[in-house]
Amino acid sequence: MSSSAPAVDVRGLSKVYRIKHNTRRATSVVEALSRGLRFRRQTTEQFWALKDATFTVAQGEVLGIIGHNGAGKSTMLKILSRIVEPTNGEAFLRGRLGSLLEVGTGFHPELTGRENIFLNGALLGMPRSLVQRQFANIVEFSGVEQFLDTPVKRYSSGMYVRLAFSVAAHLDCDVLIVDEVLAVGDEAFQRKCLGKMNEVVGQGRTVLFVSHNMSAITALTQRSIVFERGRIVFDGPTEGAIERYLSEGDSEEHGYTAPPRPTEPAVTRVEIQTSQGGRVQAHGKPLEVTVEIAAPAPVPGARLHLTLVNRLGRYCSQAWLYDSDSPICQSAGLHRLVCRFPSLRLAPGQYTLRIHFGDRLAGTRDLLERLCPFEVVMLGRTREGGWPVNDVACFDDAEWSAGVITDPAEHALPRVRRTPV
Amino acid sequence: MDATSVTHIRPGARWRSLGFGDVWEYRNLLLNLGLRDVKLRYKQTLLGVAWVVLQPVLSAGILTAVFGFIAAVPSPSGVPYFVFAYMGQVAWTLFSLTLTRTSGSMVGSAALVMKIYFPRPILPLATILSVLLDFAICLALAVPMVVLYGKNGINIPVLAASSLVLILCATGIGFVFAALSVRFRDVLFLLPIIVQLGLYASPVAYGLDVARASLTRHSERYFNLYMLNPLASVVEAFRWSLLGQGLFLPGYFVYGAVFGLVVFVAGFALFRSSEAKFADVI
Repeated sequence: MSSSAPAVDVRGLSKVYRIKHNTRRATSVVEALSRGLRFRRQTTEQFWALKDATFTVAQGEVLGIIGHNGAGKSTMLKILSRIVEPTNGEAFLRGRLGSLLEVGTGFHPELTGRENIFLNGALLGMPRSLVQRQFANIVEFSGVEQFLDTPVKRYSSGMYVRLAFSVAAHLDCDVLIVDEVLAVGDEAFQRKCLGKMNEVVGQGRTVLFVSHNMSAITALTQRSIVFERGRIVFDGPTEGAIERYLSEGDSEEHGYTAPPRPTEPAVTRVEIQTSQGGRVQAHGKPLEVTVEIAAPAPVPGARLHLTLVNRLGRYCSQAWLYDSDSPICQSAGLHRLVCRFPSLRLAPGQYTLRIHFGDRLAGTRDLLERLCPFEVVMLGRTREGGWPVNDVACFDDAEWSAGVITDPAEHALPRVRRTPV
Repeated sequence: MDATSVTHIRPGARWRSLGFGDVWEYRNLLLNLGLRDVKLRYKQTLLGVAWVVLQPVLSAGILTAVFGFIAAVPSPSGVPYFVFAYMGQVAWTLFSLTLTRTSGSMVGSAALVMKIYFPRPILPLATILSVLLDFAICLALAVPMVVLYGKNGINIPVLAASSLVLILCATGIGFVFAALSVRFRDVLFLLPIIVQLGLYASPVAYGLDVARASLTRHSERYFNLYMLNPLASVVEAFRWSLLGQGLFLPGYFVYGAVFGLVVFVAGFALFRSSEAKFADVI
């Protein structure tokens, strides 16, 4: 093998999912048989989660991969990690492949930290000798030495994630696929992770790095590709890629759409209707959020949280709908949930939606962030000195009464009595 | 060296890898998942590992009450019915536990299948370790019974061969069920019924000699039909290897062994050929 051969060579990778309309996928033998007898009358639509992805990554190069939710990044990484097979196209990976798609998958709550390190290492394809060799480093990096022999179900979520990342970070591989794993832990740990990533890059390994964190992408990569609706729309210097990614956000329709999933319920559409149309919302005026959920089967204990998040990432307000309070998604099909804030009290600033959709079975089905950006303005109202922007969360309705107290003696402050010690 | 190995990703790539090579590469994972099952199996139970022994003892106790006392099924001379039933139950438990756990392994680990790559046969195969451990403990308990009631001591080659055939059979069918369960959960409902049917269709609660005597009284054909169940001769052989009594039929045993091998290879091939779609469908 010549050293000039690319470490990753992707040629026209595509992945198609078939979506059956108005029909659930057959989940029982009888159903499949009866469908078979109906001579395929239901309509199927093809959804290209990934279409003709072609690119190469040189050995030792770090490639940034950016794109909005559902743009095809994860599908491609899953194909490259060999979790799913492509429909068309091919790819060549030179060297050992390591992929950190979801940190902590395979951790078992009942097992101790020590046991989980070995189990997780094995899941990531590390031979036992390597885990043993790296054990001290893994433990040190995670900072959970004291709790090594405690079941991880007793860990705080921070400790859990730190341990999981530490195992993954010590993988010995030539090509590393990293999907948004830096978004874990507190800020100090994130800095540590970024440092570790820099170290990995310094060792001349090839890295495919996916993140929504533009500063991390800028810090780690020179070159990036941008995904849009399953296709690669940009391949070049990272600054250009970020520009493209952000501008796409502007021109994009004001909402979110995703294909339904064959076997589990999914949020397929999110849309907002602002008081002024477009992205402008007047303070104190109604805001409507429409969420559509495609359920291949009834969803027991469905729940939807709708959080309004300001630019600083602070959660400012939340609305929720629980199946246990008022029945939702109790049949298979497409469900529309409309949430109306009759008079939105958010203070001026830029906001996005965070949608959490779950049920009793799985906990979380969808966690969608940074959706439907909009701006709250004060219309027709002024204040001396102007309005603070992205400062407080909301301006609540408040009733003031103010009067003049004419007799100061009547309302004298109580005098402090000194008692002898 | 690893650094020069090239992974070629293309549609249908895994169709061509029906082999065992990548499974062997992941043997460390096989061991770790197996150990995990062992460690977790009896956590948060009051009696812990005692359950390993209690299960066949209680089952044999039930068989003794129903078949030994009520139906008065005879056991070989000099062997209490309980001991006789226990030996059969150990063999049957080896088969049924292997079958149940391998079959449920894919659905039970859906999260892993969707998020991490590894050769999928690892999941069914890893469940066997904990079954083997249980089996070893039950077998240890059988030793004093053999000392007390056995005729010739333990025939180790037959014991090993019949155990292996039971495992091969169960794993082969388990591969098929595991692969089907990814798409159709129905098979997991079918499973307990099959296990129950197998228990009565095999000489666990009764001896093969009893079955032959009763069936041939009607017609020789019925017994031949009965012996189509490849496990019949194997379960009997297992007990024969311990107690030294019973109807050990080498010809039928070879039939059972060949059946086990074929089922294992075919099940494995079917599993591997459908493996690539698992993450899309599960």
